Amino acid sequence: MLSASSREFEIERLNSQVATLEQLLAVHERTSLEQSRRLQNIVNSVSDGFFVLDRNWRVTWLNPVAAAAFARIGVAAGSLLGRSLWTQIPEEMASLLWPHFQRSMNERNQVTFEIYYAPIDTHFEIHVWPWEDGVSVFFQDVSTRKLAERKREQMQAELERQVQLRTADLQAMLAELEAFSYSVSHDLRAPLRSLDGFSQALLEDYADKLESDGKMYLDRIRANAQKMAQLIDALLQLSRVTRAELNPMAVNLSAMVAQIAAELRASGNGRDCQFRIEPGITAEADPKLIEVALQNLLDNAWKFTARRQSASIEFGLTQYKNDAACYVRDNGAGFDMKYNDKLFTAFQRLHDVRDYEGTGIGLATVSRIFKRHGGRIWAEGAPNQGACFYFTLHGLASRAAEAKLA
Amino acid sequence: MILLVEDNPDHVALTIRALKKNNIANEVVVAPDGAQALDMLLGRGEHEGRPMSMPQVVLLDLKLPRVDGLEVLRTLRSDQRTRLLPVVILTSSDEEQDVVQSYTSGANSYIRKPVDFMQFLDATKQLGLYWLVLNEGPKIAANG
Repeated sequence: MLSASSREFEIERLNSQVATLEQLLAVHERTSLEQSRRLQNIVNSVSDGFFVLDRNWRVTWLNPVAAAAFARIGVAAGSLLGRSLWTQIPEEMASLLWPHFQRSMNERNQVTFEIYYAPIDTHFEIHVWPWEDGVSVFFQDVSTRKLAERKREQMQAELERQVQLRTADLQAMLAELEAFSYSVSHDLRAPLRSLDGFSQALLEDYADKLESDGKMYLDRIRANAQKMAQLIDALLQLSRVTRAELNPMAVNLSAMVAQIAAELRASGNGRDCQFRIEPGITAEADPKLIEVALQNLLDNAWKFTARRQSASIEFGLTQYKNDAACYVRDNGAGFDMKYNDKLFTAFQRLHDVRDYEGTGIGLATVSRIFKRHGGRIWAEGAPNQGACFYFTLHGLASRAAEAKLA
Repeated sequence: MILLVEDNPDHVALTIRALKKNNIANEVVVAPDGAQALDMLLGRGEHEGRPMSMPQVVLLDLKLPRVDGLEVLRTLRSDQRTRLLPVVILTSSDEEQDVVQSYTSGANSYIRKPVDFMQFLDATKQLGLYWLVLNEGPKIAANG
């Protein structure tokens, strides 16, 4: 048995323990109240709508954004709390939500979906999260985004339509160009053959009746007919390099240049011209087109060194600023850098026709070929100091350079 | 005999002149368009039942009224009688598509008519020498 004093002591001790517990409880209550308030504040302040449903679809909680959204579809927030969602919202909205909400509730899975609610012309994106006693729902009005998306789609469709129109236009133009080039090559040349042929017939059959002036006039007619034929051919080549399909492959430029040089030399009646060709220069290019370009560059070098004693033409690979560039250098008539920009323009000639014949189309053709390859061409020179044409191409390399590196 | 299929009378005159200048004495028969060339060779239309005797070579222009050169060539190649007949395309075009299509359609040779008559003269000389003298043609049974 405990004594009276010890009982009192015991009661005292228990009382003080109860007081401590009460204090702890109070603190705990205050903290959890604070926590739940803080949570509520967060939920109230987010821009998403948020509401909570219990297992029987009763609305147990909703934030102001959700309340405002319900108000927009004609449902007062006050009439929602404690009642089943499905009895309060319009039939049309219920049918949109029901399959997804039910799936989330039954399968205990998060479900995300979008709906369009026509009566207020609004798109919603909705996330349904299952929790232990029902589901919680976040949603957002995504009408602005949807509108932007729709606009973007419309713009894209419009853009595609325009591209198609433009492509059709270009194809039509290309076809026209084909037809034009074709008739140029046939029809424009035919009268020239007659001019030349019958002039020659006159010269042969009526030689005894023609005085020297008469013969000279006929020679001039023939020379002009042939000149025009050259112009037509040059124009055709220019249009061809524009139309031609590119089939790039590894090309040995040095070998090509050597071949062209040999042909020039063979046509040159023993002309004194030295070719220096760096071997083993290769590039990624269309062999047919690049041959046309090299042929033109070498023809030029050959032509403009015609009056030089000990003419020289060089082909090699060099470093120009940061790019590997090929060059064709000659010690011929050269040109004034003042006219540099006219060099590659069709029908622009920097030399008197009486000194150096030409169509004025060759370098325009060359420039177009390099442009089509994604490369470029430029030139340096001075009158009577020769000219140097540089060009870049994809994959320009020299076996000699590689050998040096290795 | 040579069959020249050419619609431009100037070019007919110049070709005959060039042949003559080169002392090519073979008879030249002219068909002014593709349809007439086919009629003559295959004994159709105006020439129903009486085709011309086979020429040694046909000089065929590509751009022709009514039936163009390629069509003439294809028709000739599909006919037993003219399947092996030597056909030389003689045209002002040097478009690659024309060259390729001519050969795929069975042309034996393709020559671009140069504007310079002296060059044409030279081309004609070599053409005559090759097709009329050097070349051993197929033995084609006489028509009719």
